[in-house]
Amino acid sequence: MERYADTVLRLCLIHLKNHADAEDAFQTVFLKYALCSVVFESPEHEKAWFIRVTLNACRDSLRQLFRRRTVPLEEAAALPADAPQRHQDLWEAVLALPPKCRDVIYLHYYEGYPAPEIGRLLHKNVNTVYTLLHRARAQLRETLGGDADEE
Amino acid sequence: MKNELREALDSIRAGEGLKARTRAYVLSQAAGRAPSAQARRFRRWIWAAACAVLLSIGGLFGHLWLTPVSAISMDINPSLELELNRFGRVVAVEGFNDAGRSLLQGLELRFLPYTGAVEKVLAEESIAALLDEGLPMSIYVICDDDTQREEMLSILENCTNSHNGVHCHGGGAGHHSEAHQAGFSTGRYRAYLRLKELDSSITAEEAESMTMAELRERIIALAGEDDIFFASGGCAGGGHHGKGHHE
Repeated sequence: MERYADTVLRLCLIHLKNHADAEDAFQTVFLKYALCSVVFESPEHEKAWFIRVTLNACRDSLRQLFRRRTVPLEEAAALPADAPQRHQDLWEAVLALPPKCRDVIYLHYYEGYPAPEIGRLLHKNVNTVYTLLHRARAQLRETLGGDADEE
Repeated sequence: MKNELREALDSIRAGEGLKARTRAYVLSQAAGRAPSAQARRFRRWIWAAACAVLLSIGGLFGHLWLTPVSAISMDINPSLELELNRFGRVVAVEGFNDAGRSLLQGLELRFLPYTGAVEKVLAEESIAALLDEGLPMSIYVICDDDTQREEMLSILENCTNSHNGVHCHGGGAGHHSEAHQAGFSTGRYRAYLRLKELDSSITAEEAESMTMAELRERIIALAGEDDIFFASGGCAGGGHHGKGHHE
């Protein structure tokens, strides 16, 4: 749990935007891990498994919320209270992206996956990944100013 | 943006409280729903062990099935040998002269019971023609187990009763590979060794050029029809026993 807890929580928060739902999804992911019989070939394989299962758990959670017709809890401040305003703005700008764009932005900029690898993880065509990255960067640039596409 | 995003996300950490609650949740849920990791490992071990045992049994059976333990030489003019596994099935066939090899090209004998294989050879047109001409056929059973050899000879005698000129006899596995190295079937090689005992001037080359009928005639001429090679199945160099019949 120590190795992947932060990654799982970040993905949950990016998708679900509040701590309560993120915690439910977080627990679901680790329950699946405890019950799964997959033999991981490498740490990379294990990490990819966590990312895929987390994204699926988040999607399931959003579907359940939709079915229950409940309003998601207010977006809680995921970042610490003393985080710089610039970080808060960036976080809010990321959360404002469409879910598909959030996935690729997180996997590319934070986890450092190249587009083909993201395509494999999300079961998407690599050109689709490039398009989502481009769209996400454009929206972030618009929200945050001109330096959003710095690599 | 990359660095700023990284710094911003770095500050999001799963707290100890969340981890502790998750551990408790996973333990409570997993306890009733799935075997423990130890039980899963044990189950995997059992599966692996079962697979290993099955593979070993399969390998052992394959080994037993494919390993020849006895043989039958059939010599008339075509000279061939059937290698048999412990279940009495033909696992290999070999021709020891052109006529033998040519005969085997048109015959599928592998994995037949030895009685079926012998009957199939005897039913071949070319063999039936030679038997009709009055040429003798020697069926020589090579098996170290005396009881099994006697049983095989008895069965073969029964199933060749309807054919004239078929002589069944046998002996142990001595000289088996030596005969093959010299290019003889074991039955023919034993006949050559017996003839050499009776006439030391005979060479392997001469014997190789002689038919089984000629070898037989020479032995009979020197030692009579009651010679150990025919009557008791014994032969030179082995002290083997068996039984023969003449029709």
